Amino acid sequence: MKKKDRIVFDLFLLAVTLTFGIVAFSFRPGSKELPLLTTGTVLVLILLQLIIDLRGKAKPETGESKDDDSISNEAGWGYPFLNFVWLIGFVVLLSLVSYLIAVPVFTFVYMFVFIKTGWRPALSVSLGLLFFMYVTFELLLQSNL
Amino acid sequence: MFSHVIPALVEFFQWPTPMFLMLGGILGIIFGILPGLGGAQVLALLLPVSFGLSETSAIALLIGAMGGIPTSGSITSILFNTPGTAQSAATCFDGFPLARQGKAGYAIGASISASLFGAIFGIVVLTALLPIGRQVVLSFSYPEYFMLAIMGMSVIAVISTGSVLKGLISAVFGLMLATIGYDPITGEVRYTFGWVYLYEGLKLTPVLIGLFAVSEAIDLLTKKEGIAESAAVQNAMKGTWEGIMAPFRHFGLFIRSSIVGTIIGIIPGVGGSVANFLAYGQAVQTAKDKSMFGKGDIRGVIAPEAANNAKDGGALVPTLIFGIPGSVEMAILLGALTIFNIQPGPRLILDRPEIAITMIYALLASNIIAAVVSLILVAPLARLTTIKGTTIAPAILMISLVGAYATDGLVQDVVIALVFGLLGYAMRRLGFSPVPLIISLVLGELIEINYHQTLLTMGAQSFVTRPISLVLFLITAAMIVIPTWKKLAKGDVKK
Repeated sequence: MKKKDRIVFDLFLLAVTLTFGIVAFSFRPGSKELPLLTTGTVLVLILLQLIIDLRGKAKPETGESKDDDSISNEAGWGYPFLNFVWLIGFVVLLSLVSYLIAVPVFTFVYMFVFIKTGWRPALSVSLGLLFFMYVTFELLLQSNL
Repeated sequence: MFSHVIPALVEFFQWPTPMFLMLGGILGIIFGILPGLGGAQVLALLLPVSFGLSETSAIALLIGAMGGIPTSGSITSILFNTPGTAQSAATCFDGFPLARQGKAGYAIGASISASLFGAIFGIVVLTALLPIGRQVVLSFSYPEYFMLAIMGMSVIAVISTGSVLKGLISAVFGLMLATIGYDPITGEVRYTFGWVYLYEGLKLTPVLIGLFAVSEAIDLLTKKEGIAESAAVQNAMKGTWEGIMAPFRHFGLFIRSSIVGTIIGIIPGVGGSVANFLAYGQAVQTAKDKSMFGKGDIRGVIAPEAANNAKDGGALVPTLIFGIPGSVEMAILLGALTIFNIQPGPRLILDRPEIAITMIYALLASNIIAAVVSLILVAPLARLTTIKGTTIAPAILMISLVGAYATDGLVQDVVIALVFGLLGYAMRRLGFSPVPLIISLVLGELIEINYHQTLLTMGAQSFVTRPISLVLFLITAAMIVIPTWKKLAKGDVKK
């Protein structure tokens, strides 16, 4: 994993924790003890991690253990981020139309245009999902979403 | 407690609970077979579905899915040298060589048999320990509950993937996020930043879906490859019966491995991935003839498989007795209980013993279902592994996000799932385990309530003046300090 990536992530966690810590001072006594205690502890721990990451050398991409929690570290960050941008599109679509329309439409466009699977897999997955969701949420659970 | 055994059994077999148990079991088998997907993902996906069910049916669905994972996860280990889950990784060492020798059915039979009887062993231990646990719980009060939750959180942080420091950051960061929303004592609203949605705090379901299902799906998409290497599934069932009998021919090894698995399960957060390697290690160490290990020795299949199923019964011990999740799956289960207004924690087996008993039934039944269904469906299920990540990941993404949406019909839940999907992806890629974060989020309320109750009723000094609380505090401190000290002594501080 790249040194820069680790430092950027440490700084992100630091910024979030600092925000939480500053806001915690505005709470009433009785409500602020635990927030102050947790933010203070996280701040110390992240600063330690940041020092370690700043001093440490970049680790090679290969040779790391693959276990329960870790995921691939070979690809860059661009493609995963683009994925999330597409998924924001799904959220927008979901807020405009029913999920029974949003899911097949988004899945087809996402697979066909972004993942470039071809129209057949895109169509079959879209229709399969529509069927699955209709049966699960409408017929079985009667969720009325 | 035993007065609840029969009524709970009657309720457990009332329709539609068996159907949901079967459904959960089959989904667990499918997720167990798919490499990269496991208990956390299937439970995260099923959690929203469980909301519309009765308590018993929901438990049956969730534990049904959980019980199926370790049994089926070994099938791909044996057939493709690709463990369906990390807890089946050690099965590859001898399972795959056996498959290459044309003995896949033999290996799969042994694996399924060892899994089923290993699970039963773990459940027997759990049942024996529950009445004792009840007495232990009665001697606990607010400071002990607080210290116990802190200890559980710390254990998981220390022993989870990556460095101790990163595990602790993840755990305390989770605890910080758990303070979002109403203060349980004063009622003051905290950290909502004007967003009404956050008044009740972060909902567990969208967070879980994001951290586990969304981040995993994005990883599958990023890799753009088949979920496992394509391979012909031929003669998969040959020699199966001989394999089923194999654990009985190596009974001593089977019992030792089940004990290893159960003990590992009882220690919160260690999990099946450790259990199967430790059991494999003890199988090699205790064998007189070690020459065939790694080349296709059936003992190398029996040991890890017995251990990784026995650990589920063990993991229910801290979950039910102390309310400390024994694994991430147990954390999700405890989260599901809160949705049914059942407060996870030490009072669970005192106030709602039928829930604990139902969990035991569900775990036993799910393992039997997993064994039978795996035997029947092994060949067609193995073909699932040839599906490309680019085909299956969009389906996982949509099911997870709509699952988050189905929680309350709120688009905000989908937003939270995406935010935590991104956070989970980054965390896992940079060596931070999301498991301590989610467990802290689950234990957060328990910690805060008992913290306040201790201060109000006994004073801060009671954390260290009451003997049990002090012992728990010292154990927690030792668990954090000793591994760090050892690493510093070795000069390994760069993690």
